[in-house]
Amino acid sequence: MKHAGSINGLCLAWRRQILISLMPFQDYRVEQAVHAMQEAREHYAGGGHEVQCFWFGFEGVHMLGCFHGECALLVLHSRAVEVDFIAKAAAAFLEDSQLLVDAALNPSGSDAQQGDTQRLDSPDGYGGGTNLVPRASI
Amino acid sequence: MANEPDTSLKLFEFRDGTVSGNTTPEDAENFARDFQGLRHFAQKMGDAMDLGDVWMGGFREADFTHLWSCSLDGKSGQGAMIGKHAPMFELLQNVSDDA
Repeated sequence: MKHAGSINGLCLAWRRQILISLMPFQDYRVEQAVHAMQEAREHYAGGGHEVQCFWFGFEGVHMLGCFHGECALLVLHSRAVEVDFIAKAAAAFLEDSQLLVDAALNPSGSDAQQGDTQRLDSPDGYGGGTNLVPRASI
Repeated sequence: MANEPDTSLKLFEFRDGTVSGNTTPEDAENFARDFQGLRHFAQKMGDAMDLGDVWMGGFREADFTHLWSCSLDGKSGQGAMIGKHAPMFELLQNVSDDA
């Protein structure tokens, strides 16, 4: 996503929580912007609008906010002409990042069974020290 | 085909609180309400990052797109609504000479 055009900043959020921020601003500023964006989405949802993305123009920079379920991607970009390409890339990114987001939100919810993994300190002779292979035996 | 005007495209102009356009008063009211709401939230997001004044804004749904551009004081500008998932830059070109 960082290379999908003239992008100046990116932020991936879940609800009002920032997951990843690559914005050239302090986190509290990004949080405020994400809160306002979610507030806007809720406001329009109340009026019957299922907003997929917002787009705003400021002096010298544009802000695009895209949504997928409870996730949102906030993008700052320079060139207006790239907005539709970036929006498409953002939609694909949000779709693809759902597993990553789920893993970030539920770090203990691993699919691995206990039998699939082996503890490093198991009493089968491999726990403890480092296994050294003597140079002569190579 | 691509050059045929979409019949669901509605264009508006606004100045000093008055919205005019080739549509019904109800459409003009809906446009004005969405414009004010969007500008409010855009300013809030912009203030969070010190981005300055907002001059353009819009949102897109699966079957609806709304976009406007305005003066920095928000008192005059142009806008458009269309009943489909439209390219936002194309719509911006419709409502702004500065894009």
